[in-house]
Amino acid sequence: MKLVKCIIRPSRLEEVREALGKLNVSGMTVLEVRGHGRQKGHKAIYRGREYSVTLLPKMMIEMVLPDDLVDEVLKVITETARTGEIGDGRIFVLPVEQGYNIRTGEKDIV
Amino acid sequence: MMNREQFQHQLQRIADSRCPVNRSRGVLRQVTTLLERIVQEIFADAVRVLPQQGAGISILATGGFGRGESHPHSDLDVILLFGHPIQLADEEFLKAFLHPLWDLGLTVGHHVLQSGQYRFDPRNLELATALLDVRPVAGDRKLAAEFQTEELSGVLSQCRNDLLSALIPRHRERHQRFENTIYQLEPDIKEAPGGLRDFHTARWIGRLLFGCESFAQFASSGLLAAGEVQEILDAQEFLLALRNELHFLTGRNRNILSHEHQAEIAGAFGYSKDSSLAVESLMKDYFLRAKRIQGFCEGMIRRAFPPARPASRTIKFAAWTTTVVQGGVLAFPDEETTFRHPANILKLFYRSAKYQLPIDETALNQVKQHLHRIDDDVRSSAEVRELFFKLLRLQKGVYDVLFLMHDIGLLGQLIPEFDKIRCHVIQDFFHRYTVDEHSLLAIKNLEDLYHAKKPRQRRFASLLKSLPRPELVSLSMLLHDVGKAASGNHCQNSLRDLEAIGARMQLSEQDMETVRFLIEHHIEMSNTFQRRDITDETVVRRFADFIGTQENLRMLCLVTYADIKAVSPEALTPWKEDVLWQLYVETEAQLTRAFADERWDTQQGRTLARDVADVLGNTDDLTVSRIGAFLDGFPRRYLNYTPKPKIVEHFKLAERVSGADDLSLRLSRQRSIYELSLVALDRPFLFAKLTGVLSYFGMNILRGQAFANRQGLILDIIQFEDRLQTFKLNKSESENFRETFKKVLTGKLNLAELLSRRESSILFHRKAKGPVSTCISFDDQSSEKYSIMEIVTRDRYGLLSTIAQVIAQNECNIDVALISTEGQRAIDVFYLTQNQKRLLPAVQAQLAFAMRETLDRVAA
Repeated sequence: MKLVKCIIRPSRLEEVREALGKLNVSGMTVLEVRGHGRQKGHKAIYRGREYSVTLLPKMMIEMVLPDDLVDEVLKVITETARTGEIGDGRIFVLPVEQGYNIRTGEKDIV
Repeated sequence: MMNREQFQHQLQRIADSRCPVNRSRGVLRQVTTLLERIVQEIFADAVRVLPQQGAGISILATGGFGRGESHPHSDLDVILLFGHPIQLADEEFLKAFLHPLWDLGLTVGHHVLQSGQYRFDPRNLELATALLDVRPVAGDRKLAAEFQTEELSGVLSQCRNDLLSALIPRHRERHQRFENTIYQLEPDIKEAPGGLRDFHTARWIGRLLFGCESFAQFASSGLLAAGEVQEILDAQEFLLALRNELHFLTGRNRNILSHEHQAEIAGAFGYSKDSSLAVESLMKDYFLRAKRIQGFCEGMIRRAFPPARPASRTIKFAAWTTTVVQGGVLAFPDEETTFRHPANILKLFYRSAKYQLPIDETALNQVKQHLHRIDDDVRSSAEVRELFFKLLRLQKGVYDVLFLMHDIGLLGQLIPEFDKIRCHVIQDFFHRYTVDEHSLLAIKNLEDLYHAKKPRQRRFASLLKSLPRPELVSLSMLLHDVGKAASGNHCQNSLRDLEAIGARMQLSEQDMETVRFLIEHHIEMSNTFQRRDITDETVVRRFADFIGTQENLRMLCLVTYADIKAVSPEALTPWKEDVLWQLYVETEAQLTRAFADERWDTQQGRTLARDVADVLGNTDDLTVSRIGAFLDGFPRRYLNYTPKPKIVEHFKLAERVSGADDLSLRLSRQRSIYELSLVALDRPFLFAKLTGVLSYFGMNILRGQAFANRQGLILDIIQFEDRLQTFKLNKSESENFRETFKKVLTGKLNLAELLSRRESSILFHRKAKGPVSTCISFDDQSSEKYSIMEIVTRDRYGLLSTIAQVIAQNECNIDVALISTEGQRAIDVFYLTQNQKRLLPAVQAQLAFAMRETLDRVAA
C-alpha cells in the first residue's frame, strides 16, 4: 500500500480527477494548498502596486493505492497534470503501513 | 452475509475454474450468479429497517449485470425502484443496502427511481441506455413487472427518436477519442471502436427501431443474414473472454489490452509458443473480431440514420441500366439481371466513388450473397480491369470505396492475394495499422494529395498531378505489402504475388514493369533519405543512377510519401517530409544536370569568402581574409550546401571564441525543428557531451553534423525536436541548457548521472519490451570519403551520446550522424573518418566490437 501525494496546478484538477476515475481510483482527498518549487513565485499587480507572490495556490491530491496500481497512476497524473511549463507540480510516493475504515473498524486489505 | 475476504475467495474460485471451453459466457454466468446472490442477501437484510419489510421496493439489475454478463470486476449497476414517494425511512434502507455493497469493494452504479416518475433526459444517457437492459433481481416482483411492461415500454417508445439522436453523437464522440480506428496498439476492449460498447450500441438500435429483443429477431427481420448472426456472436464471445482475462490478470475493472497483457493472454489462450508470433496471432484475431463488430454497428447506424448526402441535382434520380439512384443512394434495379453479369458489381462501387453516392444497404447485402459469382473469368475480364483502373484513377472517394469493398469481401474476391493480409499484424510498436489497412491508407494519402491545401503537401501533389498514369502508383500501394502474409523477404513475396495478379488481370507488360519497379524498390528512397547523408554528392549520384528516369523518381517519391505516412499518424514528421523532398529535388537536379555544377564553381575559395562578406555587410580586405581563414579546410559538403546567411552566423560564432576553453553556441528554431550551432576548438568527446546534454533536456535529435577547419576549429550543427516543448514554454530553459552544457564540458557536472536521472522519467517509461537485436554494419560503397556505420539497436536515453563516446574512444571522427527511431528501434547512421580517411578494415572491426560490447552492457 502506498500513499501518493501530488501537488498540481488548480486548473488541472478536474482533468486529473477524471483520468483517475477511469483507472477506478475512487477514493481521494483534495486539499487547497499554497507553496512554491523552482517557480519561486511571480510578480503580480494589486491595486496598481506590484508585489511578489511567493506562495502560489496549488491543489494537493492524496490517495492510498495498492502497490501494483502506483506506476499507472503516476503516469496518468504526470500526463494529465503536465502543461510543460515550470510549475506543473510534484508527486511523492510514501509507504503506508496500515489503513483502517473508521466506520467498520476493518483493516484495509488493498 | 458475505464479507470482503469471502467475496474475493469466491471470485478466485471462478478464476480457477476457467478453462479453454469456459472463458467467456460461462465465467460471466458464474460472476452474475454470485452478484445476484449477494444483492439478494443484502436486500433481505436491509429491508428489515423498513416497517413494510420491502413491499413496494424492487432492485433491478442494469447494464452488464442486467444482461447476465457481469465480468469479474465490472461495476455493479442497479436501479432501486420505489413504488411510493421516498420517505425518511427509505433513506435508512438505502444506506443499509448500499454500504455493505461498498464494504465488499464493489463499485456500485445506482439510480433511485420512483415508479411513474421516469422521464427521458438526454443529459442522462447512461440511465436511458441502462433501462434497455433491465431485469429484476430482488424485491417486489410485481412492481418490477409493472415498471417493465407498462411504464418503461411506454417511455421508450415515446422517446425512441430522442434517445437515438442522443446515442449517435455520443457514439461518434467516443470513436473520436480513439481517432476513429479499430487499430489501437493497446485497444480498450470495451470502449474502442469495434469494442463491446459498439456491439451494444448496434443491439440497442435494433431493439429501439426494429423491436429486436433477441439475435434471432435480427435474422428474421432481415437485418442480418443467419451466418452473420453467428459471426457477430462469436466475435462478441472473443471480446468477452479477453475482458474476463484482463479482469482476472489485473484484479480490477481494467479493459485495456496493453502490450504486457497481450503476451500474457496470448500464452493463456494457447497461441504459438513463440511469444512474438503468439501476440501477432492474438491481435490478428482481435482485429478481425473488432472489425466484424464495427461493421455490425456502422451498418445499424446507417439503417437508423441513412447517410443523407445531398447528391448533385443531376443525379438525385438516375436509372442507368445496371444501377439506379433512389432517394440519394445507389442500388441495383433488378437483382437477377444485375448479377448475371458480375462486372456490374464493380460498376456499383465505381459509381459510388465517382458520384459520391452512398450504396444502399440492401444492395450491399446482395453483393455479399453473390460474391461467389466473381470467378477467374470475371477477374481476367478487360471490363473489370478497366473499371478497377478507372476507380483507382478517381481523385475522391477511392479509399472509402476500397475500404467498403474490402470490408464485405469483394476486394479479396477480385484480388485473392489481398485477402491474405486481412488484419495481419506487424508486432513492432511502430506500425500502427494492420497490413491491409496500411495499404489502403497509403492510397488515401495519395487521394488526399489532390485536395491538399498546405504548401508542404502541395509540392507532392504537383508530382501526382503530373503523372500520366497515377492509378499505377495506387495499384502498387495496394499490392506493395501483400507478401507480408508469408515469411521471408516481403518485397520478393509481393513481387511473386504480383506476377500471379498481373497474369490473371492481364496487365500489359509496360504496366507490369512500372508496378514491379515500384514494389521491388518501395523502401529504397526511404532508406536513402533516412539513412544516408543526402548532401553527399555520391549518395545522390548513385540514387539518380539507380532511379534512371524522372517519371520513376516522381512515382517512387509518391510511393515513399504515401507508405511512410500510412505507418502511423506520427510517422511522417515535417522533418522527414522535408528531407524526402530535398532528396527528390537533388536527384531531379542530378537527372537533369541542372544547376549542381554551376553552384560548385561560384562558391569556391575567395569568391565564396567575398560573397559571405557581402552578406555580412563588411567587405574590407581584413574581414574577407578572416572569413577565408574560417572557411579554409571545411569540407565541400559544408561549403556547397550551407546558405550564405548561415555561414555568416557560423563565422560570427567563431569570432566570439576567445580561447581553448571557450565556446560559442547559437540556438535557432524553424517551425518545429531547432538547430544548435556550436563553435569551439577541438577537444575530446565534444559531440558526445553535446548530444548527451540535449538528451538530458528531453530533446529528440534528428541529425548531427561536425565539421573541422584547418585551424582546428570545430563546428557542430545539430538539429532536434523539442517534443516536450521545454524551450518553447520556458524561456529560462535555453539559458539553463547553456549553463548545464558548459558545466558538463568543464567537468563540473557528470553527464552519466544527469542521464540516469532523466532515464527514470515517467513520461518516457516504456512497459513492454519487444525483441530488438543490435546490428552493426559498415558500408564503404555509398560514399567516396567516408565509412558509413549503421547501428540498429533498442532506443534508450542518451544512446547517441553513448555511441559518440565509443567512436571518440576509438579515435574516429563523426562527420555526420543521422538519427531515426521506429517504435523501440533506433536506426543511427554515422559518416566516419580516421585521419581524414575512410576507416581501415581492422579499425572497423575493432570499433564494431567495442560498440557491441558497450551497447550490450548498457542494455543489461
